[in-house]
Amino acid sequence: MQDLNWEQLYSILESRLQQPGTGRVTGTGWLKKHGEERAMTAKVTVEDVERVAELAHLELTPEETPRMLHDLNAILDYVAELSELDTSGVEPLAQVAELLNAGGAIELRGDAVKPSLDRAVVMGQAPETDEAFFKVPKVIER
Amino acid sequence: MSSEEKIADTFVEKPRSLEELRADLTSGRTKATDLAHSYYDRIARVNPQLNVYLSLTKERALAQAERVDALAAKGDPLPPLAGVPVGIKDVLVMRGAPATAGSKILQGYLPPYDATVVAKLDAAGAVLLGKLNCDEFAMGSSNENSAYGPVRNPVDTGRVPGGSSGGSAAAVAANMAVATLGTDTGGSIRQPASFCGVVGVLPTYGRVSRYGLIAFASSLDRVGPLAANVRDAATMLRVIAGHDVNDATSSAAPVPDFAAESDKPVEGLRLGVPAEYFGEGLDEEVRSAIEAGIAALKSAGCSVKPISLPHTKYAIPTYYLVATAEASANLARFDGVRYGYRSKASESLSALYSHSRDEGFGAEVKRRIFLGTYALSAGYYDAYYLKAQQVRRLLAEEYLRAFADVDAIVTPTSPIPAFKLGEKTGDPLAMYLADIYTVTASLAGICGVTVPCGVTGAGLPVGMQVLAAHLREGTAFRVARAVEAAQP
Repeated sequence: MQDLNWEQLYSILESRLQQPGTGRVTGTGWLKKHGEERAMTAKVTVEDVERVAELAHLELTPEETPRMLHDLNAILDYVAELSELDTSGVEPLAQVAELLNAGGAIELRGDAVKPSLDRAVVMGQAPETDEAFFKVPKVIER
Repeated sequence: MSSEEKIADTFVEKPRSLEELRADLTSGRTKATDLAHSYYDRIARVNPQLNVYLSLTKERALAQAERVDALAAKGDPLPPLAGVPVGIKDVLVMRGAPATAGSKILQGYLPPYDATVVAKLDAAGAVLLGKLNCDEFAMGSSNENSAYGPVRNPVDTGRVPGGSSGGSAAAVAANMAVATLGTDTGGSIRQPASFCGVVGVLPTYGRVSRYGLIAFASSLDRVGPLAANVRDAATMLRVIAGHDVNDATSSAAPVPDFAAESDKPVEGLRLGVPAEYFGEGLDEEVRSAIEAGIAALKSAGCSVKPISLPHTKYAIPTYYLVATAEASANLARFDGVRYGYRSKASESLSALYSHSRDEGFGAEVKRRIFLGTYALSAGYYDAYYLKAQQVRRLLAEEYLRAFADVDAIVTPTSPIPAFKLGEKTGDPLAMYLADIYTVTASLAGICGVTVPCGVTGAGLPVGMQVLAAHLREGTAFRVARAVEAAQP
């Protein structure tokens, strides 16, 4: 059975989710419509892992990469279940506070200067400083 | 009695109640400094085998104990937790004491301030013994992800204590503290409390300030107490709860006297038992123990009815998307620049970041950062993260509907009792499945208490989870007290 190209898969999924009144989006349902008969699974590729590693400022050794690939694929298969649910018109719930407070407003403090942490103590925790700044390797080569 | 059973008995020891300790300290029968020393002696004896404490804060603890003794000697009224030995999970900061978050990346880091919950315990007279081992950055269900070695379950040292607050639960179970603070993002107080046979509290999101908590997932993280009995856990919660200007997500709701609430009888309370929690995968001995607990609640005058929470199964994928996405953002600050571990000899700033993080973070943390970064990256945000937040609302609404009909929902805290060290770490999905009973409540923001409810044939503790609507911890405590009263 031919693997779906993940880019192609995602663009199909994106256009489906954005259509109003899509109704139930099931994995096999719309894939059958597009002439494929297998459950939707986005497969993570080595290129994806490398791109994410760059974004996350993490480095994987060649030994670690296959394990990460396997783990991410296993988890993403599990996660594809969410596509079973019809969430058209459902507002995302990012902050539970709105369920607690009628009106849901989070109280912000006034914009007034208050004492903060002792600078010397904070700088003292850093691996390398000149006491005024945190020191790091050169960013720009002259 | 076999030699293994004898060893287990050596570690399991029930702390005295807060009420007893208070009476002794007030009367002068016990001195806070002697009490503190006796706890440090016990820690010295058993910590090598259990690996519960990562660091001790003796100077601060003894200074506090001396202050309490001075108050008691003068006959002055003692603050609510005067002299009480308490352990603090190592994701909460105490000024000048190590805060590793169970990670190498914060090795050597000494926070310049106290977490609000630490300051509140201090003001209440508590004697803060030290920092408790936990899964790295609170990510894990077994305390096997700590960079400083696993914690062992005092009930059976070949088994895990649960996680991520494994140290917090084990400390109470082994009487290495009278009570502890843990944190719960997806079950990390409730599950270890259940595995170790102690009481654990999941306060409503926003009930307790997160200022000074090293963040994992900001919309899910909660700080909560663990203790040897329900009333003490309720007393602890009252001390640490309350609005905090330093935490914009903390609730301004008034803090009731939770211990007094827990004293109220349960007659007439309506309990819901969700069908989805009692199906395949639930260990038979756990099922029996929970059913016995429910029968006891019926005898105490509760009405019990079956309910359905059909979206339960979607909670895990939702949780892992929301939690990992937020974690990837929260852990971006650990880059070797301002604090913690910095990799040697990096040729560029970019290499400094990746080497420091790669060398400093453990495998599970990296995995979650990866998934979270992937879920938030351009092209995936809508399909993964946003979708998860939509499902989150469906889950929360399902609970709200349920709480219109029942006062509390009772479930097992974990589908299985404590497993052996090393047993589950090969398969991340197996570990994730063990979270299903706990993550839905985490996502919905509601509160709950886990209370010991029997043991398996092998003597492993079973916990019952009592869930209540937002800000209704009092109801959860009441029901938990009734379960506790029914235990032999």
